[in-house]
Amino acid sequence: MVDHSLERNGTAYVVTYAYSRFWPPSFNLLSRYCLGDCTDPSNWSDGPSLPIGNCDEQGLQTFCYRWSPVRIRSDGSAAFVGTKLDWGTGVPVTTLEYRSYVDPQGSDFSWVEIGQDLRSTSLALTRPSSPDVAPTPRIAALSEDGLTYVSCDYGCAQVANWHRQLVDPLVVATNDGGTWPRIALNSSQLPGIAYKAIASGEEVLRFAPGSNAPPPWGPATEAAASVYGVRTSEKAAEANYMLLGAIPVLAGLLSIIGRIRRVHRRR
Amino acid sequence: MRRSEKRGAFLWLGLACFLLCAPSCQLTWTHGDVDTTGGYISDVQYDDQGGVHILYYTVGDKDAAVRYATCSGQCDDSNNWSRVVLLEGAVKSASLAVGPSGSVHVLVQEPAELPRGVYYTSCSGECGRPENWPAPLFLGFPKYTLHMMNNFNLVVDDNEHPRGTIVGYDPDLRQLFVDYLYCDERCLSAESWSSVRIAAFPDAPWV
Repeated sequence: MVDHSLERNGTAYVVTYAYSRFWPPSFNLLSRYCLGDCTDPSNWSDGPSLPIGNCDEQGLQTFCYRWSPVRIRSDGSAAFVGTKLDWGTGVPVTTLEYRSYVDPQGSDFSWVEIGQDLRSTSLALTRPSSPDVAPTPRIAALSEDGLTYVSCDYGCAQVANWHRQLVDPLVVATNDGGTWPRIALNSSQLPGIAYKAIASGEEVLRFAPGSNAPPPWGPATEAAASVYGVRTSEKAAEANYMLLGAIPVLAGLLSIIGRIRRVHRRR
Repeated sequence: MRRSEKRGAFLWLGLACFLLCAPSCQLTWTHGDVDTTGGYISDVQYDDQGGVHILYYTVGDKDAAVRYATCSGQCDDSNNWSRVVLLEGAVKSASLAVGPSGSVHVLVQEPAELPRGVYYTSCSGECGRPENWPAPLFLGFPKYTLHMMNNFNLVVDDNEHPRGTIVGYDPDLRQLFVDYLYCDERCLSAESWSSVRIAAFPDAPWV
């Protein structure tokens, strides 16, 4: 067993864990869930059982897969994220995988590989005010560049719909348990990440809240990209979209102001 | 199309474009130092009022402890964080949960210099003040002694009742197991806690 988790959603709880019964290890992600009175063992049932394979012939299987806690949505569906460590070529390659299913039994299970340089993940799901709106994943992860925020707003089975931002480059990049970031969402669904960083040669515990405050524009854009870690190409593309929307808005507002002034002059 | 209609369409098109992009494309990140002692992060949670709660633990001969930090307001300002040492000594792992009313609950496993087992404490009110945290209660459960990360997890249900799962090993049965811990009232009394076994695995190969 390498991991387990417990989540609250009304009266539903899910525990998930990886377990091997044989040697050499053959890992399965197993899960149990409860609906109703969880103090009664008979209310616990088996959830998805997913083979995750033999990752390592050298006995280093413990960290082949590392899963975030399962996050349960209000409709009983669930999602989790993990990093797969593949030693197949002799060089460890980590792959970030986002997995989701539509109910506690694990039907319509799906997954997508998000990237090959992200690890040590933590997952939160948004809680939309309307049940008709699907929750969306928010992930904190480590990359070679530092602490990274990864998100998707729609079509999350398609890797192209995932976005990433570098939050803080000053992050301890070793793979001990303490460097794993932790992410949470506030009531406005904005993320906050707790993590360990190195500042002036000392390890510090940090908290980074994400906000919708406007980023610096114009000549400061490149500086902002380095400070906030957004890749310049992504930043430019996002800025273009924003400007595309902002220009007609400004034009329309100026036009309306002009019309009001003309009306005033006539009076 | 009349000129005013064109102007209106132009305005709405721009607004739609702006609003569609804004939620996901532009998050601005700032940060503040919570504790210069570093630490291993167990959990972070927001409460419904926007307060942030972090549970972490430090290791080392002198400053090993389970620690809690909280902030309300501008949490990227280090001055807005309060820190409390909940339990001194080295621990295996710890878990934090925030209840609907903002109460904070903590489960701690196996401090090295205390009786081995599980400890619980909780706070309601101003949790950045040490005096609002009762001394952690020893719940027992000494068989939960596996050396692994994330050995247990804690949540608080909608009625403010703490519930946890914990992984353990029973050497008599040679069995790896997962237990569900629960308490409905007076949870700072060990007799109020119970457990049910929800999974068991015989012959775990690496234990």
